[in-house]
Amino acid sequence: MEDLFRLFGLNLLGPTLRLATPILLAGLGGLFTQQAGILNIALEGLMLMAAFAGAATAYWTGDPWLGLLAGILASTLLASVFGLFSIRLKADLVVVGIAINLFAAGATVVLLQRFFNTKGSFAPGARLPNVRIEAIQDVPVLGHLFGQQNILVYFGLVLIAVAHVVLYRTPFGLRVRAVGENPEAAETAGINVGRVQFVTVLISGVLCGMAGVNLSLGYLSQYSSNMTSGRGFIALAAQTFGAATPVGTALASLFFGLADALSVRLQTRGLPSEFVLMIPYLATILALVLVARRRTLGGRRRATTEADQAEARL
Amino acid sequence: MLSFLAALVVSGVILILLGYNPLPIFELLLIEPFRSLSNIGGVLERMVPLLLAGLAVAAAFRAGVFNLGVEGQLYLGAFAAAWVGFTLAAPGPVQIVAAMAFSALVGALFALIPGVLRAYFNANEIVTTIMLNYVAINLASWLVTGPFKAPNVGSADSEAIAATARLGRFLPVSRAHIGLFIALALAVGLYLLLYRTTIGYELRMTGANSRFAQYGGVSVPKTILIAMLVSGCLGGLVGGVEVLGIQYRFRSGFSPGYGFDGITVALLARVEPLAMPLAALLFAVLRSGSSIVGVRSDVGREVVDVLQSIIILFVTAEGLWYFVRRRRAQRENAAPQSSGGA
Repeated sequence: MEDLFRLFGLNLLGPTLRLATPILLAGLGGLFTQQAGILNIALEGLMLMAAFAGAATAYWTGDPWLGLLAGILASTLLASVFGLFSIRLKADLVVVGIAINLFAAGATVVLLQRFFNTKGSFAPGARLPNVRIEAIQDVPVLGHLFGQQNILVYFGLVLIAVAHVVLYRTPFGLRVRAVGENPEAAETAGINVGRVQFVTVLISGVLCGMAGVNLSLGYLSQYSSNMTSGRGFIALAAQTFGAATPVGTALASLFFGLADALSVRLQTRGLPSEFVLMIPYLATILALVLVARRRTLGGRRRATTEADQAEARL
Repeated sequence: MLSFLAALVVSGVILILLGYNPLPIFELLLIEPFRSLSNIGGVLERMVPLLLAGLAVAAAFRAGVFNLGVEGQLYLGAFAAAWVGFTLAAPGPVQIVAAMAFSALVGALFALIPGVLRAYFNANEIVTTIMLNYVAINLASWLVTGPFKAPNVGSADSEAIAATARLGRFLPVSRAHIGLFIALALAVGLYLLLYRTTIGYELRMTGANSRFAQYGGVSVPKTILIAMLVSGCLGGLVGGVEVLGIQYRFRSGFSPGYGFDGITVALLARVEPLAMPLAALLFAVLRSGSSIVGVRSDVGREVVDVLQSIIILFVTAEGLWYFVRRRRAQRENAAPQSSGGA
């Protein structure tokens, strides 16, 4: 019992939020493209590219903020390639996404070897600052969660609200949702579908840039080869689980953050690490099934009520 | 082929920008694999998993389903074949057939999971197959660090398969093995399945237009399941044949991403089984060449991933040529007007 308490104690909250942040940031990026009808499986590659570009720039300039900027630029540039091929040139989304991920995986290693003469890892020597909020240090839960986190964690929290407002309270958000709902109708209504989709892809680039830099210059100051290790795909799942809404995606990211935080603890408790490492992926599949099931059930219910109404009209 | 050349040019430019001379690198990548008999053997050896993985991806792709889980399926298939190889005491041919059948079965069962989720729960198979890769790779790796770890071996390996269960090698001084002919036969087999059977017809119809197929009386969920089963069989065999022909035991982390290469191979062959051997051969050359590049130059072998990603982009951007032509047409249209103005 005591052991269980130690496993799930309040000090799990901080790591949960910390580990959820990269998933949240990339997930927010993914939900913008998803809302515009684009499944973005390139999140993983965009994050990895940003993690490397950010770390390398911080290493050369000594300035983590320039690193953040470089990470965002690199990721957005790669995202524009994704947009160019998938939207402008109408190539298959999934295939282009795979190519982008492959490109990032290869290019980061080639660059790592070219400039740092290693295939493993390097330390940028600088990182984005942590923020410590003294006023809530001793408040339970609140203090555990928000007392001391990397600045990007707070960025992420603010961006949930920003994303919500942009999507549901601005003309641009309306256009994005219109394009995702029915591109033909949106086109007829005078919306430039391709341009709106391209903008959402660029937004996902910016957010994945922050997510990637969060890995290499956030909690740790270290870049290691292929350090995203599937987080981009988990972000994709979080966004799907959250039905492509900012709040839903945030909750799903927290859930995956918790699974991640727990897996670290279970590992020290003698559960084979391989099983622990499976947790986030299995959780993702379970989540997808639940969402899909809810949606099909909902759809069926709607279909039957419509059929009932039609019958009643007869 | 045009896409391949264009991709070579782009990656050459990237290499120049990084301060490398691309010509010797391309020579190592494309010519060196043919310079000796053992190098050619190396190409043929790599062609086997690439061809099988390409076929696996294609089988699902033809039904409009993305199987990005070949990488996971091949790991479980490899372990399955190794397990038969080190437990079953039987004459050689029986061992080989049983090991291959079991690897195909395990691959198929594992592919059935995303298949069922897609067919009956409408869960996106792209995401589920990617997630299941991580599950499969971790599971296989646990099997050989825990219950099936070979005693007295430092690394995470299974016991070696019986010598009689090995696939014969046909080219001295290399590891090229008769799995190549099995893979070629399966390419023909998949062609026959797709173009000469009712199931194949329903599969292609589902891929071309699932609603139309449904109207035509095809059970789309059932067809998706069949496509995933076939795909999973082939995916499992990628690993099984690799164990029986090359590795002779299961090693955790043995695949350099054959499952993902299969996607490129399938795309390059335009998802046609009979064009697949050629595409697999091209990628086998690239993969062999990349190992040579990794050893003999200061560029990482991962440079081939960059090349491969650019090839995919060019192959799939069918609109690219359209785009270029339209641009040219626009310019030609604009030209007479401006000369008329002058």
